[in-house]
Amino acid sequence: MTTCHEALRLVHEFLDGELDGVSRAEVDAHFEMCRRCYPHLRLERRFREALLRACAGETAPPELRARVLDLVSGGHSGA
Amino acid sequence: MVSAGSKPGFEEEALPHLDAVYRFALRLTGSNFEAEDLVQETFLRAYKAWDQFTRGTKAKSWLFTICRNVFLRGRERAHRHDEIVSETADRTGPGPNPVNPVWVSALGVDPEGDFFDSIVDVSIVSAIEALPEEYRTAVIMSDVEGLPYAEIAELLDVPVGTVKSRLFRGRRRLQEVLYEHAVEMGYIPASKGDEVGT
Repeated sequence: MTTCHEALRLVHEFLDGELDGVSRAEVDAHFEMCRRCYPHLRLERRFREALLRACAGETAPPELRARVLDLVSGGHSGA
Repeated sequence: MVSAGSKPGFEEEALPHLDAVYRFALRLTGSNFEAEDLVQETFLRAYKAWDQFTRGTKAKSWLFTICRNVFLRGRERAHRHDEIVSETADRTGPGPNPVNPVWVSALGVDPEGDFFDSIVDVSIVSAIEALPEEYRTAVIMSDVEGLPYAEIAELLDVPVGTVKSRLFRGRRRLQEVLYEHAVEMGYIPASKGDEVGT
């Protein structure tokens, strides 16, 4: 039986997909049942969503992509 | 300077990670220009070393490793220093109290965490870039790039326990900064908060 202390201690590994099947199921069940701990899980998720939103959409500028392609395909031109 | 001709597999295995390496370089350098130079140098070195790379094995992590090494060497040369993270602190683990005091405060005023939607991306990026490099890299690798702990450990050349510790500390620090920012900006009122029991 997972305690509040244990569930909160494992919240990062739980969200990171680093727990094995049994531990994961136990922690998952605790968060589903516990009214004190579930809000902590929700905020942790909102935090991660905010990081992804801010960072994951950035892409390399087309000029950089072209320069790297040029670099690794034999250097068609000097940039 | 660059030898002509292409190396088999490089375009298929390495180039798809260009955006991810660029994002990482941006967070390491905090500058578009420096990030572009860093990415170019990373791919040039990767290309030259491609024959030593075992095909089909974690090309993304390998590129991140090269990128970070180039960045750290450049920083040493420039005698610029981030905050040094104590490895002793790393080994002490997350600490005895897993209750996040930031969440305790936030739950009193915004239990859904809607304040995160109000924080603009540039503020989040600034907060990430203000982290010590060891924490910053761990957080980016896990939360943005989705790498497993074992790969991050290999990339940083540290034990998995150290990765966990750096993630814990880096995330906690970011959460504090973002929460304080939200209070300062008036997205949420300040709250005293009180600890939950167990």
